[in-house]
Amino acid sequence: MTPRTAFSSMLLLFAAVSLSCVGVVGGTTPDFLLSAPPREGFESVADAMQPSCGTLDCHGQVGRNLRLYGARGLRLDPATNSKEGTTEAPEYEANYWSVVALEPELLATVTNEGGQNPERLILIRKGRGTTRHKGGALMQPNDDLDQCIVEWLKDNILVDRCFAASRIGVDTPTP
Amino acid sequence: MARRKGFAGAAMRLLLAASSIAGGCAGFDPFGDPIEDAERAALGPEDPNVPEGPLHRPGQPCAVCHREGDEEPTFAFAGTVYRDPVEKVAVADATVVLTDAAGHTFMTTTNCVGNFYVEPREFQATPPVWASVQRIDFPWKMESPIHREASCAKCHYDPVGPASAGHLFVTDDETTFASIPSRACTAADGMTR
Repeated sequence: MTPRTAFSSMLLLFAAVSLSCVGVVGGTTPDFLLSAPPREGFESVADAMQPSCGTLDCHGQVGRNLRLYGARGLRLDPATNSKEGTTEAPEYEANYWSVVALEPELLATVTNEGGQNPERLILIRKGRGTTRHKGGALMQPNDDLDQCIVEWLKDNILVDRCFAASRIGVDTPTP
Repeated sequence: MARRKGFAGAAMRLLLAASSIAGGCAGFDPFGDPIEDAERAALGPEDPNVPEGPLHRPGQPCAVCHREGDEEPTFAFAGTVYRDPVEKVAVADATVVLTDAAGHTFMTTTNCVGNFYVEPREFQATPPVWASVQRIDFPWKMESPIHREASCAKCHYDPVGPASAGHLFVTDDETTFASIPSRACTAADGMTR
C-alpha cells in the first residue's frame, strides 16, 4: 500500500466512523418533548437560592454545572459587581436554564408527575444533604428554601416562603 | 532499551527541573493538579523582607498553599482584614467571629498586618459558616455565608468585580476611619497570629 492509498483509506475510515457517530446521536434523541417547571415567577426561586446556593465560593462560580448568578454572588454582566446592585433579568434567565438543565429528562418526569417525589432530583438531594454535598445540608424538608423549590416543581410559586429564604443574612437573624 | 532508559532519564530531569523553578509556595508536585499549580504560581515569590509565617502574604488567598496535603499549617479559614473598602490599611486586633450551622462559634483576632487564620484543630465547622469582623463599636457582617472556601481572598479581592466583593473591611463610615488605629508589628506578631 502506497502512502497515498493508505491516507485515502484512513480518510474513508474516518468518514465512516463519523457517519456512524451521527447515526448514534440521532438514535438517542428523545422522542418526547421535555417539560420543566414554570419560568414565570422563577425570580422568587432564584432569589431564594442566592444566599444558600449561589455564593461566590459555591455555585456562584463559572465552571460549576449548576451556575447561579445574582447580586450577592457571581454577576453575569462584567460591568456589575458582587458587592452591590440587584439581580438582573438576564441573570434570572441564566439561572433558570442552569437549574432546568441539570437533569432535564428526570426533571421532565418529576414535572409531568406533578412534582411528586422531588428527591429524585439531585438539586433536592444535594440541598437537603441526603447526597454528599460539600456545602452541607442547606435546607430541610418543609423549611422556606425547601418549600420554595419543591412547590415550584409543582408549578406553584410560594412567594412568601421564597422571599423569606432570600433574606437569610439580610434581615433574618444569622446564627 | 537504551533509548527508553534515555527517555525516562530525560523525563525525570525535566520533572525535577520543573519542580525547582515553580513559583508561589513550596511543595510543587509535578504530578499534581495543573489548576492548583497555576494558582500557586500566580501568588508570586515571597517578599524578601518578610519571613514566612503569620505576617507573610497579606491579602493573598492563604489556603492556596495552606490546605490539606500541602503547606503546614492547614487553614480552615484565613484572610486579611483592612480598615475600609477603598484603602488597604491593615487593621490589627480586629475580632473575627465565625459561627457555623450547628451554632458553634469561634473567635480570633488579626495581627499587625491584618492577617488571621484558623486551623481545623481549633474549629471544625459545619457549613455554612457566617462571619463578621469588628474593630470598633459594631461588627461588619457578611451577608452571605461561607460554604466551602477557606481563603477569604478567593472571593474578596480587588478590584470589586463580577466575581469579587472587594477586600474585607471593618467599616465604610469615613467618620470612623480615624478611630481605627493601626500599629507597628512587634516580635510577638511574628510568633503568633
